[in-house]
Amino acid sequence: MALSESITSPPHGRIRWRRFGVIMVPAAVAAAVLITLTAKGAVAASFSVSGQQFTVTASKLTGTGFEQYGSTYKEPSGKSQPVAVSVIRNATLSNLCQSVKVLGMTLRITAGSGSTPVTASNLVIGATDLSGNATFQNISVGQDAGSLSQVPGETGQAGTFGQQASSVSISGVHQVAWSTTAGTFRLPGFHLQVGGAPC
Amino acid sequence: MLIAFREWRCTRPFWGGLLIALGAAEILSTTVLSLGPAFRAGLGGVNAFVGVIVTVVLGLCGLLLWFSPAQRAFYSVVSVVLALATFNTINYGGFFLGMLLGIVGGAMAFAWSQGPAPARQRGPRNESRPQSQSDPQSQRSLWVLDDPEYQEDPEYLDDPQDQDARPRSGSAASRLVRGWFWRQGQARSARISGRDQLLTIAAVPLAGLVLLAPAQYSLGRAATLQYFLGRTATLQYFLGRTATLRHMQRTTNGFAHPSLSCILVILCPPTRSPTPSPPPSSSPGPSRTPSPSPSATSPGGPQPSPSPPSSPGQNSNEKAEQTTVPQGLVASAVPAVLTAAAARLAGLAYDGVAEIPRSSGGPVAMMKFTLQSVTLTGNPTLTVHQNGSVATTSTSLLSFSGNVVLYTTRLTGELLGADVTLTPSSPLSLVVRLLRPLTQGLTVTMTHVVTDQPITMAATSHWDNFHISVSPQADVS
Repeated sequence: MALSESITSPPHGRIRWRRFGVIMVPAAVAAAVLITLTAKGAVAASFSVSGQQFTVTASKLTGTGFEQYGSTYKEPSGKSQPVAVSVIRNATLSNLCQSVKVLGMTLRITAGSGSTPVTASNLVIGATDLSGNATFQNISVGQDAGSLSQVPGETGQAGTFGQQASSVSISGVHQVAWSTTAGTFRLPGFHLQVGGAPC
Repeated sequence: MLIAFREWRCTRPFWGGLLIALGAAEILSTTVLSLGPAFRAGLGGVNAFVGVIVTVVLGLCGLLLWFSPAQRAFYSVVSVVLALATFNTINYGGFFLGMLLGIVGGAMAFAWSQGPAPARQRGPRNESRPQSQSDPQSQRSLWVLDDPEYQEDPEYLDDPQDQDARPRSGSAASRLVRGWFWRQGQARSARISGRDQLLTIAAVPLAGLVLLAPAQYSLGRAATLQYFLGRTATLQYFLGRTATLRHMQRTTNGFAHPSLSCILVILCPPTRSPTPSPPPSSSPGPSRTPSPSPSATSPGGPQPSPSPPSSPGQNSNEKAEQTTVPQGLVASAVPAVLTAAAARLAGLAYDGVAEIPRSSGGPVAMMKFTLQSVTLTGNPTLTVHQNGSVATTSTSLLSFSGNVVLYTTRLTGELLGADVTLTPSSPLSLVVRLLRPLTQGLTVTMTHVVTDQPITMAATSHWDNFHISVSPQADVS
């Protein structure tokens, strides 16, 4: 294979596939290591999705440091999309399922279905729709969103309606979200499925 | 034109660069940064920002492969490393796809060869192939010497004769990589000498690749540490802010002692301490009732008017009531209504009017109620209008228990078949206030309850089958 190929037209380049493998094989190994560590929850991932509607479900969400307020997300098209922003300083999610549409394909991520739940810090979800059964500790409903204090540094727009709680527990979480951001996301049992059904 | 483009395309690692750029675009497309002022990326934004930078540099590498193809070995290897790094920094590398494109594109660009200049070089080197094969020693030292880093490694250069020996110096990872390259070199360097330079250039980043996983791991560790540091800071923050952390903990433990517990960190409700609170037997009178309010606030914030109880009547009430505003409580300024078909109110006590500050405009006069518990049934719904949208929180059962405090500008409903409307200025609210010793011991059920501008605080709250939905304010008049 090696040499008979190339040199017919000197100015033009071509791809040497063996050299391709020189990079591709170790890169694939490194990727496999990363994915394995991530799937074991040993390595945290950062997550930030917005601009498209997607679904997040979890059989149970517990969290400390909870805030919720209204906000507006500007779609790329320029249209404003009002959302309810939920901020959780430290969240634990069991049986997390997220489905996102990327380039017309449904991507479905599941994690935390085993004994170890998903953990996330500084989880910020902007949702148009949120349902479940919730229990809050030390709740305050109706105070100014700008005065929220449960997640330091994170407040809503002053004057708007906000609520917060020192801890939250929601079972049967179902959200239709427009944005999700998590500083660190540990996803034991990470599983990504392309073309699956949405959550 | 087309031919010119083809010429341009064929003289650089076009497809590799294209795949890298596409991969970066795909990754960014999954995150679609919102630049709108109203939406905040949140605290995760810092980490997300790292991912964005990594992705942007990845895309730049793709473009630089086009416009600076001479440095393709560097750009392509950096692309592969960055593509791998996107997995943990930004949406799992755009849900694999972008990472995969980046890796494949980087490998393709790396494998691309034969600009005009190297092609000319290739001829003579290829001719020297037979000698090289017959003389692997010289061959090896050739490709070792190509790499400046290895040139400085005396141990490495000391044993060029040792054919079978794997390279011994350096870390295990680099030894692995070098060994791998050594085998590669044995197999093929003889044939294609032009490759050697690239191979050696690749060795260092490849060692980096092998080291990437542990590095990422420690990165995660560092993030965890950061998080714990953040927590400590939070604790300090709370400690600094109020000295009532103990109280809060007690409340959260579920062993809330009524006289000690605080509903929120920022709020300590009227403590019904035995001495000042009027016992039911005591005759309710205007001069007597206000006394609990000022004494109640002591654990919380400052008392602007600490000596009001002497003057009886409405004036003293208002002064006393102002002290009941807990520090840090700010009322929202947007219309909000809480409705329910039925509300079961246990241990209701009307504390009087409180002037709650707002972020803009003057403070708002609100009635302050304290209760043992509130249970709302019959589709309790909270409706908030703000930002040109309506947010509705509907539940099947909404309950607050444990030192409940309710502030509201208006409370209407049916009590024992009679329509009741309470506002801060209504005479009826005064009656309720006078009846405080009585109502405190009762559990009453109101129907068709409407609460305007509610601010509710409680130790525990249950929202059964809640459903929050936010929609543009089209359906609202």
